[in-house]
Amino acid sequence: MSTFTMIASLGLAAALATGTAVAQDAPAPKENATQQLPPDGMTKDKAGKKAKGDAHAHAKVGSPAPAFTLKNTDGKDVSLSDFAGKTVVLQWINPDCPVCKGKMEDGSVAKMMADAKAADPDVVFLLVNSTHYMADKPATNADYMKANKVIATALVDGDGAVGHMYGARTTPHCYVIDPKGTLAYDGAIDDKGSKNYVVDAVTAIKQGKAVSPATTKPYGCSVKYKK
Amino acid sequence: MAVALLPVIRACSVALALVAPPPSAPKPAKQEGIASSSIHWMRTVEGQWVLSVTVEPAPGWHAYWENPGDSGSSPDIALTLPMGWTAGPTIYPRPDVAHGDDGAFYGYGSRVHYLVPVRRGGAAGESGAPGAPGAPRDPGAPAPVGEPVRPEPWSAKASVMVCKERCLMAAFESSGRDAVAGGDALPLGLAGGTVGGRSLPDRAESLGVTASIAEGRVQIHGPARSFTSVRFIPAALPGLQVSLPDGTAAVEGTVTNGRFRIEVPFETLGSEPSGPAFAGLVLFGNQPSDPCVRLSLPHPAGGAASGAPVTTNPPGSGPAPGR
Repeated sequence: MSTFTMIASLGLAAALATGTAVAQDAPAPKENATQQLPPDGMTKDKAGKKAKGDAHAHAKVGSPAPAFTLKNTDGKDVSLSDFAGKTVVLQWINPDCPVCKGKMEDGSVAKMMADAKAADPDVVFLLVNSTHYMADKPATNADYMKANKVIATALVDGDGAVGHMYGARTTPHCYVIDPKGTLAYDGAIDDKGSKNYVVDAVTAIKQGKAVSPATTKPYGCSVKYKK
Repeated sequence: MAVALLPVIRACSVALALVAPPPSAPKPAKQEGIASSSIHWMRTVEGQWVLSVTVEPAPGWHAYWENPGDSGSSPDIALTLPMGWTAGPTIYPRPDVAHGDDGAFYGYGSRVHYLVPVRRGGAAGESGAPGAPGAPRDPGAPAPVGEPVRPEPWSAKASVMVCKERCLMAAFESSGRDAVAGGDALPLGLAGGTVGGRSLPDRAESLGVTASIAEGRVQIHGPARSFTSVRFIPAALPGLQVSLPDGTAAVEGTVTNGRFRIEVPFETLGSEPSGPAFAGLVLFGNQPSDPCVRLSLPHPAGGAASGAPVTTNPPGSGPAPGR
């Protein structure tokens, strides 16, 4: 067989195989930088809202953490300023999100809290739920935490104002605020492995060190904001 | 003419070796959001064994790339391999890129093969007589061509998040003891091939792509390869903040006289000193099968001064424990 014949045969066989594979695939969506795919079906107003917080646009690492007041699951007001002088961890949650739920159920959140408390006994955890359809079901958060043996304050952000203000994108999405009220960490709860970014940030703050990394890519379900 | 045909053959041949699952591939139970799925072994034309977690999202649903975008989650794939085998980092085929109400989206609305290359040798703490089958080998050594049988016994677990209006975590697992031998072996590699109609990231040097870091910007340039659109999407690196223009999911390049140039502004807010400072994918054209290049730039303090050539992270080049 000549070289050309052999190459042509290989090419034909390969092309046939490729054709078969493509035919089995679902049609790929046309790719376009401005294409409107609904990644998660949620809406997100990047302009932010001022409803129950101050006027800061998205929170930014190194800047003052936006102030807010939200109701806890008992209907009482809880303000960020209540914890002045303490390190505060904000974690966005949604009991319907499999990633958030998985972190709760496998003990990751409870361990994170325990490890953070070991590094800084005064650290405060506030779990924020911006899921619009849970706005009138505060007990859902309480049940969720109780079922997973997580002891923390859950806050209801039904209209998503605080979520938008911080730029919370996923559940979970975590923020760490240092005792001076400066946002020190913004991102994922962990690296999907053994490294918990929140614990590292709390530990670094307690030790007076720079938080590194100060930002990571949060992962999880999109926050189901009110449209 | 033979030379002209080579690129086509190269791409097609990788697909030829990769797309066909063995007849014994297990078929997981149907799960919501998933039209079809499988975990099966494939073999590159170089003879390297690759575990494929193949997922076809149900219509309207989608799975995610290594950087899911503004929300979502990349899959978790954990392999248990016999002593003497190591798994490399997962290779993600070229994703769809879009911008919607959620912001940037990088993922897959159609069938995707998440590929985990494996090879014999190398992991610390493993035992075995040097030179004996299954004995440790230099981790940096290339995969042996024509490795006759895949690792066995083996097991794999995968969690793949798929979303539509809500998200679900689809879980798959498979295992086996039956060694599979044979498979075509052509002198071609994983990098730059296609699988299931999607291109696999190629090496920058293969396509003449170079990049440099200077003052919070990365300049990427090279031949446009007859494409009029060349774009960049960032990887999810701790500390890396890439500024995407409002309402877009990628940084568009300019194409002039057959060459492209992309300028990517970025910021590093604390990062892993041991890891790269900047990474992502350069996308040629707009179709899933169009070529793409993986870029990875080290920290300047680590030796990469302004204007230093790009380093690449070619698929399957470095063994790392499967998780």
